[in-house]
Amino acid sequence: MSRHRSLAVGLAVVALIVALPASAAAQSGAAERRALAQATELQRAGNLAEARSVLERHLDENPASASALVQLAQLVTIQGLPGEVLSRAERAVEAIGSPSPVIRQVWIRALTGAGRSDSALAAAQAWAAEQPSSTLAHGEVAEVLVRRGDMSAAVAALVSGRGATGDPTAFAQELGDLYARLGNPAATAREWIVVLGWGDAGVAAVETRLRAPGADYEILVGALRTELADGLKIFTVLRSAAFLANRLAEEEWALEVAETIAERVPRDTRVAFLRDYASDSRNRDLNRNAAWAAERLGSDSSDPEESLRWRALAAEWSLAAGDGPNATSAFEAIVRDAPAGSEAHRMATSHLFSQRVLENPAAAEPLLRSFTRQYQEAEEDRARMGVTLSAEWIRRGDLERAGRALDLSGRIAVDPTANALIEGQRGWLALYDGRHQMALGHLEVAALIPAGSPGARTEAIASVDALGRADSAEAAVVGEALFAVERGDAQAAVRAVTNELAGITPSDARPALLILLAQRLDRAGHSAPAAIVYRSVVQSFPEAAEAAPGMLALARSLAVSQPGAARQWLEKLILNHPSSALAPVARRLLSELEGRVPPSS
Amino acid sequence: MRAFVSSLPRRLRRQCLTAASVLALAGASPVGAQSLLIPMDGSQANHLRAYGLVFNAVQRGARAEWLLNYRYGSFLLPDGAVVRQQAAIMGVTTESLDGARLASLRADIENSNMDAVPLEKAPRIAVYTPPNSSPWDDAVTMALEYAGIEYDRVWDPEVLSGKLEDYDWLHLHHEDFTGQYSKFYLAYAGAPWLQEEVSRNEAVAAEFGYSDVPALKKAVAGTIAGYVRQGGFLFAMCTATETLELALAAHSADIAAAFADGSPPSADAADRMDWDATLAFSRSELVLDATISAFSDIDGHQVNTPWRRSLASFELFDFSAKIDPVPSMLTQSHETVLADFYGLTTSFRRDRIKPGVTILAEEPGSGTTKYLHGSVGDGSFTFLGGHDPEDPQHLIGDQPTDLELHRHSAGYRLILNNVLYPAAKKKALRT
Repeated sequence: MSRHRSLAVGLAVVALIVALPASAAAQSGAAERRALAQATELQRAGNLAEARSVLERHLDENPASASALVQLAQLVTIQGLPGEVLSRAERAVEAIGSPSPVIRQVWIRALTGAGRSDSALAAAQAWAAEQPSSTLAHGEVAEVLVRRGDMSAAVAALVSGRGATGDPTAFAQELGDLYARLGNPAATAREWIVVLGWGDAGVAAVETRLRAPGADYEILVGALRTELADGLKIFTVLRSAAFLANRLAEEEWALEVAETIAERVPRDTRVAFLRDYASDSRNRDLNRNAAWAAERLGSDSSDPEESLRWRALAAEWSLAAGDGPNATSAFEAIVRDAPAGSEAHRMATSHLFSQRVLENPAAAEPLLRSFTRQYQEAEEDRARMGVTLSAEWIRRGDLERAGRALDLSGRIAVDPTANALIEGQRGWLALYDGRHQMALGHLEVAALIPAGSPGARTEAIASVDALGRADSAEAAVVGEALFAVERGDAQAAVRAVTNELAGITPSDARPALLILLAQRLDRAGHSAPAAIVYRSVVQSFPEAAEAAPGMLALARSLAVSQPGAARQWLEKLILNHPSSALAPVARRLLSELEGRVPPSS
Repeated sequence: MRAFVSSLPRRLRRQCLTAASVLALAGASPVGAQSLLIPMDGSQANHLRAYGLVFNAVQRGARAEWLLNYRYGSFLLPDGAVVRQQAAIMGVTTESLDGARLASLRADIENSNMDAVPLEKAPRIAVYTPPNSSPWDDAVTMALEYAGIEYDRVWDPEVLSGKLEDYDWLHLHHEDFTGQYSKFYLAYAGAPWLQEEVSRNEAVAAEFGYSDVPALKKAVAGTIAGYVRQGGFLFAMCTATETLELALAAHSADIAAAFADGSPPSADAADRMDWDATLAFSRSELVLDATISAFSDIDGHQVNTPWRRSLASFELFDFSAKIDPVPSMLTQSHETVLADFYGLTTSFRRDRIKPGVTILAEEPGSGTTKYLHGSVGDGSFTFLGGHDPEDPQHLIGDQPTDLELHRHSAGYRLILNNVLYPAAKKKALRT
């Protein structure tokens, strides 16, 4: 109730302008409806003068028509002449005797618009005295005082009005705004706490005010925190404050309020709040707060399975928040406590494996073995874990254990994505090991399966094409170089191609093999060695189709440090390879370099 | 700002020049072609950059022709290595024409509602914009940058110092010549960008001895009108159209709100408006209320008011290429019905337009027009309503428009038609 009464004052102007004409018109006769519709149409068409004439003609015959009077008041306000409705408002007041609140508002505002603010104030005060429980009347007194620039008196009028109406929550928004203009953040915060008691609408109202241009955000948030900490702990207010803090991304404050709620409310209320709060925090990327809420839900739950599920989510969100050690110990506990085959156990095993594999791949092997045994049906997950473990052994230079890691992921029966992953990885392993034909065989299978990551499949297709045309000696050198890239030894990769390939007669596949290597170097962050290989492609094989990606890559690498050189490569690409699919890409980059289009994000 | 050729790397520039010299010495065109057609129909890969290609060719002294209504306003250039390389780099589609095809093309033009207008001198372009604005604030600047057409920026100090004499073509965008900062005070009173705009304008007003910003802007508007009367080409969009006119008419009236000049508008402002001083509009009713984000009833859409009109589409009129070459040039497009777009001034009420002004596009049946052209003194003006043809709502803070994604924009073609039209041979312009 109090919210509606309080809002009524704030919305009074809108009600004057929009709502009441429609409802009043419905009660009036057909002539009035026609006049109002005609005026509205003229106004929409921008013909304000004619719209005004229509309303004035109607009021000549019906001086007490509230709808027409309100519409005319709106019109003259738009024309910058708000006082010009005064004579008609006075006629309406006289004609009715006991005018409606709407007519009183039009009259009082017309008096103000005509520069007669003393009369306006007297009329508003008389109205408030006559109807002390009317929030509209007290609001109008304050409105006149605000227009006179007397904010302190307006505050006093609203405080007095609050007492007269008997509603201690009335005028909370209006008072908050006035206190903010008067530079009183503590009083503003106390009013906003009342507004927060309205729930979601109150949260939105306070957020809008905090984010408004010119609002003293830090001071107002500080005041709100202090007043909330010192005030009564009302659940609806605290709940709103927690969600407001989330919306403002005030992580610490939000957690502080949420902890206060969790300590004070009964279990059922707490669980309902924590669920909503966890979800809201997660949606806003406040992972630490989401993890805290999930952890509390886990410890609150009497159902062991549900408890484990919340703990697993808490650990996952802790990881997302960057709290690795806490997440690891939580996952270890879940793997130990949860029954094998449960959702919580599976999620925890998978996460724990991902963390262990980079620190100590040997320690990750038992986890993969256990996962494979427990979750036969999870073929894609098993394949991904096997490929991840294999890649880590490759990075450490151990091709044999890399192969065994794939075996640990078990037999893949049906899942195409899992098959593509395993076959692709076996192909690369064979190539690194110098077994050209075996590599080709596995990569062909991976390239044929329409599943998995598009980037990996594109690389497999390009490799099959290149390896199919390459001779074995050439393929062996490129395989050795790719293996060096995976081990992080970019210099060895460049040496392999510059020294060893120099002695081998190039096949048709040479530029494609070199581009493959250069792109791997690029992806691994070795941009300078990549540029050496790209340059060798565009200089040694300028007519080859692979020269276009080489030129584009060189242009990209030089875009910041040497934009002039980058432009040269792009123009060369466009002019020498006009039919390449990369020519439009080069034009775009050229436009960006020349500042002709906004830079891509 | 940057001519396309001069922006090429020195090496490529040398290649272009060498190729051109060899061809000139040999006295022959490459591959036997005589002319290069730049088609502007559906086969064109980049309509907007085509204008840049032609503009730069004319700037280098080439004799170009604008083939009005031929394949939606195509262009003809002398064939050559330089122009071919530029076209390739810009992604502009060209077609080689030998003598027989050229003769056939000319016969088609002769026998249809088409004409070939020579383009003989690239205009010197000025864009009226504050010194710190980004190129992405303004559709014309974006179009010029994207097409690779050089321009200079001018603002109040340059205008008041007589620098407009150095330019053939002037563009105005969303400046508020009533000096009320587009009435953004309503919503952005505390925003740093608005505060910065206010202090920048006040500093210029003080520097040139004006009492306030509205007085400064009236003086700037008067100088711009004088520039047009003495033979300049003016192209204005968005709120610059409406507020320029209001500022011209209000030379003896105070129409600015108190926040702009410290005093409320004069009570008899409407009676003191001098509509003889304007270029395009007359008998408009003013919106003097500072809390209403509109200036007058010239705009038929009133985007920031409760009675805003919804967007629909507007239609370009069809003109006779041989009898009305100027309106015809300004409306060359591969689309004749275009989606409308808002600006602080979106459209122009037909009943507010002076007799003698040519309407180039309108929203059928609505009583509003979108695109106008007129002559005054020795010069001419073109007004286009709206802010950005490819950003219909255009809210403050929106991402800038990326023209690479709108290479075929018919709305942007209208802007570039205006850029190129002053290059047309004077005889054609005066018919």
